[in-house]
Amino acid sequence: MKRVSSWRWLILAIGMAASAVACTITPGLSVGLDVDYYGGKFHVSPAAHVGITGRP
Amino acid sequence: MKSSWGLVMLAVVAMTGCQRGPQFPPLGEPGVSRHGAVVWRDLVTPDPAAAMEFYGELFGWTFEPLGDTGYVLALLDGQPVAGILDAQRTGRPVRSALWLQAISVPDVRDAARAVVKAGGTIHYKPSMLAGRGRVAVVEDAEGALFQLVTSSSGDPAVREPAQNNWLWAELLAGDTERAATFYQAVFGYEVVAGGEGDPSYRTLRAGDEAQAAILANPFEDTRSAWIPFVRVDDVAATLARCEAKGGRVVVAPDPARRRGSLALVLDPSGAPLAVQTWNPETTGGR
Repeated sequence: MKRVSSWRWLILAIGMAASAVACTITPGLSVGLDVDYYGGKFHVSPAAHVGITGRP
Repeated sequence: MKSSWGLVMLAVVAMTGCQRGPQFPPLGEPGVSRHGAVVWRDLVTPDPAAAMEFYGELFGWTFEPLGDTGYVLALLDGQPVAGILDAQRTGRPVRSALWLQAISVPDVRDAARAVVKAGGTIHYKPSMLAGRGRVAVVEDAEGALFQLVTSSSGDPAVREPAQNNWLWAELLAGDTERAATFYQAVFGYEVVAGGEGDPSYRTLRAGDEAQAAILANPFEDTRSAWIPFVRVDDVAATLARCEAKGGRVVVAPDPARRRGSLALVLDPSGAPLAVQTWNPETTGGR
C-alpha cells in the first residue's frame, strides 16, 4: 500500500476543518458594513466599526 | 464524519511516522522558547495560484513548492514566512480561504487536552511533522480555528517585525470574556482587560510581551476568527495593489482608527487579513 506521509494528512485535516468552518466566515456586518463576498455585492460604510484595532 | 477521519489519520500517521516526505523548514532557533507566541501561519485556500500572485504582489513574497505535496512555502527575502495549503486536495469544497496561525506550546498533547477541557474541538490530533515538530489543528470554544505547535527546532527569537512580515493577531470573538477564559486556560496567558477605548477588549500576554488581542466580533452569523496582521510601509499603496490583484478592501484606513494606519482586506479567495503601518518608537512598541 502506498504510504502517505503525516503532513499530507495534516493538509487534508486542515482543509476539512476549513470546509466546515471557513464557509461561514463570509462577513455580514450589522453596524454599517455589508459584505457579501460570494454574491459580489460589496458595500462598506466609512463609519463602520469593524472590530480591529491593530498592534499597539 | 470528523471522528472517522480522525481514526483514519491516526492510523496512517501511526503506520508512516514522519520519516518520509519533504521536510518542513525549521520554525525557529535552538534554545528559544516563546510559548504563547504565534510562530507560524498557513493559508488554506482553494486557489493557491491566485494566492501566490496576490501575496507576491502585495508583500513581495516569493514561493517554493514543498515537493509535489500541494504545500507551498512563502518566502520573504529568502526566509520562510508562511505556508499555503491547497484546499482542493481535500476533495471537499472550501468556498472561502482562511489563515491558520500556529501558537507555540510546551507540549501539544497537553495543550490539546486543555483545548477540549475548555470547550474546544480537535480537528487534527497531535502528530509529528518532519522538520516542524508536533502539531495539532484545533477549534476554540466559539469556532475559531488555529494550530498548536511544539517546534522541534525552537521558536523564532523576538525581533522587530520586518516590513511585509507578520506583525500582530486579533481574534474576533462573539464573547470576548469567554474567549479570554478559553485562551487563558489553554495557554496560560495573562489577560489584560480593557484598552483601546473598548471595555470588551482583551490583551493576551505571555513572556512579558503582548501576543494578541481579543475584540468583539462585529459580524453577524459568523464564527469567531483570527485575523493576522502584516506590517507594511504604505497602507494606501498596499491597498491599491490588493485591489489590482483581486483582493477586496473591507475597511479602508480611517484617521480615527489608529491614525489611519490599518486596513482590513480579503484576499482573492476570501481570507481576511489586516495590514498596518507600525512604528515601535511612536506607537509604544509592544
